[in-house]
Amino acid sequence: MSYPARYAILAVALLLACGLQIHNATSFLSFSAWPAWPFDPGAMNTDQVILAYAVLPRAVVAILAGAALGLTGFLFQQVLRNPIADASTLGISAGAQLAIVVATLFMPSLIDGSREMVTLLGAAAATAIVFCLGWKRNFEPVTMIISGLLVGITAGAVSAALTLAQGEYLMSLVTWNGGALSQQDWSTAGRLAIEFALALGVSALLVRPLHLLNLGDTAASSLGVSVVSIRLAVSAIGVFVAAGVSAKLGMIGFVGLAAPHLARAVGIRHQLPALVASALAGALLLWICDGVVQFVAQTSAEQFPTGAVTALIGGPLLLWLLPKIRHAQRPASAPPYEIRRAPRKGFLLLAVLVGASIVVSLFVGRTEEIWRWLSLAEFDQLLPMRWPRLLAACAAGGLLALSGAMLQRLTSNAMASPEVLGVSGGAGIGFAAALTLAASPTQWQLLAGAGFGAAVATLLVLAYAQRRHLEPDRLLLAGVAASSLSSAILGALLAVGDQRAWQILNWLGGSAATVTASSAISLAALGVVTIAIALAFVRWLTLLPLGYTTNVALGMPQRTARIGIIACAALATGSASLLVGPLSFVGLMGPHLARQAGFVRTREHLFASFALGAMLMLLADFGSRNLAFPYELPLGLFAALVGAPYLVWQIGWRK
Amino acid sequence: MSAIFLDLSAVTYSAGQKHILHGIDLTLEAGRVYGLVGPNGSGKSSLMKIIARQVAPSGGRVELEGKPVSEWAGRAFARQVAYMPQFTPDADGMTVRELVALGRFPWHGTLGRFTRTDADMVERAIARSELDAFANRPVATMSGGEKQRAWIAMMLAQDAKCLLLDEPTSALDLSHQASVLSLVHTLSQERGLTVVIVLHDINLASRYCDEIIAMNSGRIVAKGAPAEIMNTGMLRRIFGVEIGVFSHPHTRQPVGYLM
Repeated sequence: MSYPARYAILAVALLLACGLQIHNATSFLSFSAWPAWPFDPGAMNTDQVILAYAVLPRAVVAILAGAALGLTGFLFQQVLRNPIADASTLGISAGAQLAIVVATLFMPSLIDGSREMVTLLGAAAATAIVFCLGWKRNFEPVTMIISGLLVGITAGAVSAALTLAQGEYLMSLVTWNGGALSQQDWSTAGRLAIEFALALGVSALLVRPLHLLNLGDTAASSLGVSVVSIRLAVSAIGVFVAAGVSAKLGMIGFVGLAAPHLARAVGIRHQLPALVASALAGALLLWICDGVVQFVAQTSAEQFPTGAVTALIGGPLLLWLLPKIRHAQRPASAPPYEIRRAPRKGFLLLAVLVGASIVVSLFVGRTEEIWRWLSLAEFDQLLPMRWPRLLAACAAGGLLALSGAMLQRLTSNAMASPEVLGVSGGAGIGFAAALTLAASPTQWQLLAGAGFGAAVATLLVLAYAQRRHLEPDRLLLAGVAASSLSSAILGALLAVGDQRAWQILNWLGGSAATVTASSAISLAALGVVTIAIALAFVRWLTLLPLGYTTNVALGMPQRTARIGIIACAALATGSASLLVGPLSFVGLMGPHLARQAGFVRTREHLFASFALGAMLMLLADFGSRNLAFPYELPLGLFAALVGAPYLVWQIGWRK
Repeated sequence: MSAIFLDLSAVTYSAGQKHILHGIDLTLEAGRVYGLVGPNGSGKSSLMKIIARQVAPSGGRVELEGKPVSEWAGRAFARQVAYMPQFTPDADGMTVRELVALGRFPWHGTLGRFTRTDADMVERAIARSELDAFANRPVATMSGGEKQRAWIAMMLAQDAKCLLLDEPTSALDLSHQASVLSLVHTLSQERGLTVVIVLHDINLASRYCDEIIAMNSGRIVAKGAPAEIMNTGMLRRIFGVEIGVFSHPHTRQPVGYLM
């Protein structure tokens, strides 16, 4: 892009931002009535005080926070060589949020004085986990983003569970999570300015080694760059700035993701100018977004937090960025290790295990402090209430794990899971739409909304999968984008903070308690049908992990296979997530455990995944009913909380 | 002269703005081994991918046994042409026998039964590639040369009339290079297979191929028997460097060396 065009774009953006700002400010208080500089609160009327200590600092905060986020986005994208890295996609903001929730609940005194410290700890912990997960795979972009999503989902699940448990106290916190920019004085602006200036200075010093990282770790270190320390230093700056913004304003997603790409889109290629331009682009972006939010708030009654609005840009932006991700260079193939194959007896053992968990679920009960076997009379009484729930949990777990197994084979990526497919994300968006559109939605309207959303998301993913030379990784990332968009929308609605928020929190947790006999039976029937379909696809599922080239060479119908399998997995996931909510890691854990146990051949892998998924969900159900007895924990959240540590251990630390 | 197996006329290929192949005309006869040579970036791999139907050409016509390749159904085409890419994917958790059995997909399809014939073809392919001892080993635990042989066995089980091999020897040491290529050469003679091999080493090409096709900058610059290609003038045209040629002391075949 030529220089004049570049400046023209900058001028237009500046004009737009200033125009919005001036319109919003003057419609609040006409310009002639503005207080004189320097401000003297003693000599002002109320409106003048609001202008000087709320409206104007808000604009400055938007600019500074936007610049800071743009800077972090640039740093993370550079240091990880990953065009979609950002505090929100790496799960850093979610970690900060969780830290605030935990501190508010258990150490409220901490929050008062050192809110910044708390968020910094949370953000650093989340970053450390994501980086550890990525370390083994050479910070390969897709793995990093999926790890970030998983850490983000988990942190979000814990936050949601805590909020559900202690609701009354935390609702204000949920509002903070939405990223509200409103100000009461200039102190936030001042602190942001200091932090931003500090970070900008230090990162400007690190620009040169950062540039060399583009060559890859090996080449960079052979040129004398200390790769590890540069990566640590730059990431530390990024976390520091992101946590600072988080502590003051809450979650403002995707500004950091967009800014460096805006800078690059106008043709800035060199490092230092790109760094400055990213900050500038972030500043303008957030300023404009906040201007629009205030403009809408003036003309209509709804006041959305600015962070929720920027998050809406995130999903489409991610989709647009996907083609820019370099084809993931798979790390040199792992040292060969012999997979212990399960003997035929393995299935017998599996059947025994599943049977045992069914028996335990049916017959063990808890009263007060005592665990005991139910007497036959009690069992008779409880059975009509228990069996639909057990059957439904089994079927849902099995369906999720089976879809996970199919998707992992389809994408030849062991991190693929139904959560990442975006179908449950679509269901979440549909649910949110039903909540917003209907005045007082019935259970059926909500269900229809969720079903419709899941169908639309599936169709979108299918349309994307139609493309001939689609790398399977891209499919995963498209799902990640849908999931992010969904959580952003749900977060925005949560942040509004009325009774809809409770319904959303309940939906996130899954509604196992509302299962009826008929819905349980239909879910089980779907389970049987899905197994049958998966078995019919067994040869495709064997060939798919070998990749596009081999599949074409053997004459396999690529497109048909892909569409058939995705449609099947989406149907299974959609129905299961109506029961357990949009997040549980059963779809990821089932197939993993099955492989670990030596069920490697396709047919065995599918069967074992289903069985293990059913078993996991049964155990999660048992735990969610009994652990906090007499209270019941949300099934989906419980499964996610148990599953997440296992996955972190699996991905990161297993030899 | 034997029957025309594959016929390319005026085939072009471009990726974005970059033109990779400029009008390739090429006829391959059944039952011969062709060596595709040329410097890096000359379009060898692209040509292979077009023949293997992995990518569609930007222009021109490719016909297999007189019928445009785009009109062949997927599995019918795979029964004619087997293709081994330059980098074979990891066959995660599969044993050699399971990998070789995948080669039968073009015959039994998605839902068809895995018949006695299928099983026999798999066992024969394993035996022919001298992999009997490895049949139950996981592919992931094998060395580069053994892995390469396992993939060739899979192509044999595919029972196609034509094998396309994209640099099958690039990761192998000298003795494995020789064993893989002589296996391919013998197979071609035994079964009347048409074989196209992309090779970097002009001497290996002249030793194991019936005919050499030389490419440079997206064009075919020479095609002929090794004896016709292996002379200083021709090699200069192909590779742009001075390469001398002498007679092999035993086989009397021409051997090139860098001057």
